[in-house]
Amino acid sequence: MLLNLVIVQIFNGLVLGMIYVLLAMGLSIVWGMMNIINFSHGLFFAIGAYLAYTIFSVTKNFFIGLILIPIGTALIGILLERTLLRRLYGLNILYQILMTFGIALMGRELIIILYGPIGKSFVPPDILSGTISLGALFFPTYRIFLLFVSILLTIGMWLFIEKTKYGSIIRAGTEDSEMVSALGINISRVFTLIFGLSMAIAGFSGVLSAPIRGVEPMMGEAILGICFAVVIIGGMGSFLGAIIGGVIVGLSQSMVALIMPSASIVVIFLVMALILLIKPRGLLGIRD
Amino acid sequence: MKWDPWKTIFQKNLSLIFILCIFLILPFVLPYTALATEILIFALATIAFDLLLGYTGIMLFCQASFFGTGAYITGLLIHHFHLNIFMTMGAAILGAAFLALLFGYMATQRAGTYSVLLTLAFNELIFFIAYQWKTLTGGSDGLRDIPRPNLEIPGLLNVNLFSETRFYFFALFFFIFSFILIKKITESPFGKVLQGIRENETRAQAIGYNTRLFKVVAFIIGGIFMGLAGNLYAMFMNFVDINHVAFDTSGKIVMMELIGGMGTLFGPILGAGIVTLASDIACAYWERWLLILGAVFVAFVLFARGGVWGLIENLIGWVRVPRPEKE
Amino acid sequence: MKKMHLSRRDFLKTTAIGGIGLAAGMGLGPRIARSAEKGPIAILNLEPFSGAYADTGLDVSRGVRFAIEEFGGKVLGREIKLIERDATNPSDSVRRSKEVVEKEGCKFIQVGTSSSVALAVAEYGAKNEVMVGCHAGADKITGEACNKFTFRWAVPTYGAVREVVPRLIKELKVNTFYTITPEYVFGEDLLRNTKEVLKEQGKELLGNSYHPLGETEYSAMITKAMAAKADCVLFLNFGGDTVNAIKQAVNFGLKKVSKLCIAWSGGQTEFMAMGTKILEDIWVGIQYYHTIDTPMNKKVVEAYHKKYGVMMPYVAASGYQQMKVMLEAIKRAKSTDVKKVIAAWEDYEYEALTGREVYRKCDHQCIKPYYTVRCKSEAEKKAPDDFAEIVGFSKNFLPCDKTGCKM
Repeated sequence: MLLNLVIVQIFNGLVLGMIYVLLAMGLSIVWGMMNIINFSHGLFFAIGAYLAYTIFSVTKNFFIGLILIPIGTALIGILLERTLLRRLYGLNILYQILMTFGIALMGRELIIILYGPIGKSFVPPDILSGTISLGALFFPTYRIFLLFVSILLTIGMWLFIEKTKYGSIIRAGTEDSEMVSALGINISRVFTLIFGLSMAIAGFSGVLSAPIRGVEPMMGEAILGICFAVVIIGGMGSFLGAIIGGVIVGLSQSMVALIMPSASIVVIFLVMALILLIKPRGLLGIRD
Repeated sequence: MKWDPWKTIFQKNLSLIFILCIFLILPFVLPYTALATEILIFALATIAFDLLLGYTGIMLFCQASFFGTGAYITGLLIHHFHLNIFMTMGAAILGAAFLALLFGYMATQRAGTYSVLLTLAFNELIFFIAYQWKTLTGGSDGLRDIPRPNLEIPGLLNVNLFSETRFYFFALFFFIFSFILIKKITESPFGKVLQGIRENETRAQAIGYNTRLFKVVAFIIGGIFMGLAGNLYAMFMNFVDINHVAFDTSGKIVMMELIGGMGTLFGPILGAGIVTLASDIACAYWERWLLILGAVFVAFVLFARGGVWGLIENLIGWVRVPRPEKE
Repeated sequence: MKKMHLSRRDFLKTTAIGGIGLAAGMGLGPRIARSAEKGPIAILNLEPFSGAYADTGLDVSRGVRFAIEEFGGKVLGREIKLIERDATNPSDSVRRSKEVVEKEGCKFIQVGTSSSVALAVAEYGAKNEVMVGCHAGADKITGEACNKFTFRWAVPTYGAVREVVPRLIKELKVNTFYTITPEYVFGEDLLRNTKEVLKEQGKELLGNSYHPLGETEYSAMITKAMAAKADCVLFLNFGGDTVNAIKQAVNFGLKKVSKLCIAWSGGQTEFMAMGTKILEDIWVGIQYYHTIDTPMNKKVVEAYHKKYGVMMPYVAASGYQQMKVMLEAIKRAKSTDVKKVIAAWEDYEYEALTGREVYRKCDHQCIKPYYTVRCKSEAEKKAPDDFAEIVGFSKNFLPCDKTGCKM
């Protein structure tokens, strides 16, 4: 009996963890490359989820959303980067961080204006609803789908970063962005692409998580705090760190939820504090 | 020529006297006194924040932890022990200072934006601990039933502070005291080193300063005054809300700082006044006034990084206090 | 490293200036509030217009305005000035109260559905002699935290649980229960009362899962509930949490294993958020439903529907009823003097949406029924908003000496 419970919770923890992994990846590449702590990252997660809600309400097709929305969030992200953030390059990084903070605030209020202050619920599309049972265990089909898709995306990202030219630029930029610029690469265009990519992933995670969590205006801020803990635990600037951090946090959240649900979030931060004491750079941290 | 002491005092402290006058009439000019007290307390918190961000160049997001810790300690001591007002204040300040020492030490381990992230995560940690530890803090319900203690010096003085006006002047006394202290700090050699660190930390290190030590001390000083602000706020509200340690409060202080004007000490006061007044007026008209505030904030980041104070300075053409511009 | 010096002169200067200011301030007493016997009567409505309960805020506001309109916007020949403020968290609410009490000389406050906000404002009201009408459900409000100036309409958790749980046992013949509880004073109250009732009835609580307020991930709790295989899974949360929890529970297939029941619901608003497919055959406890069969309710529901196009939800009814009672008390007292209004309000029985109601004197709690409804299937619905039918109701309240209230 207990074993069943634990198995199901490990599954749930992995599902939760993969969302965190995706978000942490996005946060990490923007920070690594541009040195920006992107407070609006959670906002794009929320935008992805809300757009999924809208598209699903209108077209009844969830999968279209999965493809279109990341493109949409990428475009919005690029727009904001070019019009607002770009003006602040060359100045103290502080202002860019503050700008993302302001964007996050405005974005959240805009969501409330457009969609109302209360959350909206969302059910998974019919094909993916229901559960798959293995003996006495029940696994919601949608969560299996989520796990599958997010692992695919993570592998895809890894291939992109490790095996492609652009990926090597990102890796190099994470180590030393000045040098990359000195090598003659149009760093400003790279920044735009990185930002767009990060927002695309954020939006994608939002779409994926909407059927489970529903949508509500504070969802971006709520998850952002946890994502910061994830990148600190995994180590800022490390791709593998984002994965490990995300999985650890997801698992710890779900396992603690079995014993003491209300402590499931505070435990994440306690774990983070502990790791900081032992390994100040996080488990796999590369850069400062 | 006869030396006129009053003229000298007046000239030397023109700005201070100006602020004092404004705050003396504020509660009678504003629609209700509690608004003035709110501005006052947040001005204090923002000035403390300014010491860290504006003067030392340290960006942080755990100011709510310091503020909230001061508030919670105050609330707990009054609620459970009915401790004397000054002893409570001392305890709150000590508690916040200790936390500042802890966070400051860990956050200054390395320079760069990572430390900003750490302060943010620390704030979340404190928030969730407060949220979770319901028996101590009341969790999301908050700590209620905090009767306002009397202004009491045993044997000398026992004044009831129930009236909003009286409490305002009580808080004002500490505000002015703190303001003068912080101003003295910024003008002292210590303060100059802090500004040097802001301008170019590497160079300060090269000259031989232990910059980390200075930064940690700056954290502690900031923590002290933010804790004091939290202490006053708990007595003001008769209540400690979990929001006092939440990121929202940190963000609010950041906005007050930027909109007011970093690195000027007067800017934060302006910022606290503007943001508090604007939100008070705006919330009656539109629930989504935060959108406007956010937009104003973004506009300031883009076009007026010196804040309102900077704009005023530009207008009057005074000598500017350097702000962190280039890296 | 040279430390800074605070010279003795500076210190003396500071203290002197500050001391003068302080003395001057102390000399001034409390600010004189505007006269409360002439001119418009200010009534403050503190509701959450943003945040998790924002939908309730709008509905309560509608109910409150509806009541004021019925009075023609005036009482005792004076215009009613309704001031509405957002009350998402306790300290903002207290600040708003301070603002309106000082600025407008307001003596009457209606405060919203969040228990922590209501408790904070009620405390403020008690200290400042301002009447507060609460809509929140925590037992404490008319229990240990009660005070002379606070009144509360909603049935507290004691009465809610004592209607719903025995009703479930009687009608559905369930013997074992599993509960899902939010970690909040209110959730704790519901759980405590549930445990007491189950003990009285000789039924078993197989287990309980706590969750933090605002939780979106219920997989752990649902998994445990499914493993427990109770006859009935009782959800003790409310608002958005209930919506999320129930949806995920149905998604996981919990309905196949146990009967689902919600102890405390916002009624129509939540039903609309969940939809019939999810709600089918779930039993729900509520304070009020628009199908209540009294002449007054029928009339008001129809008028509300005419004006707003929806069936009156519980929180609107709460806002309407309590505002109406407050205004009528002012009218009966023939004055806005708070002590007289309190005397006119307590122990006065009146015709209400739920039948005859009275706010009893010992704890200022309104004695009214709590209802259990059964959610209909798509086939049973006679109209798109006909989500449920009332299957029972009763009045259950602690005797005066057991509430913990000392006024």
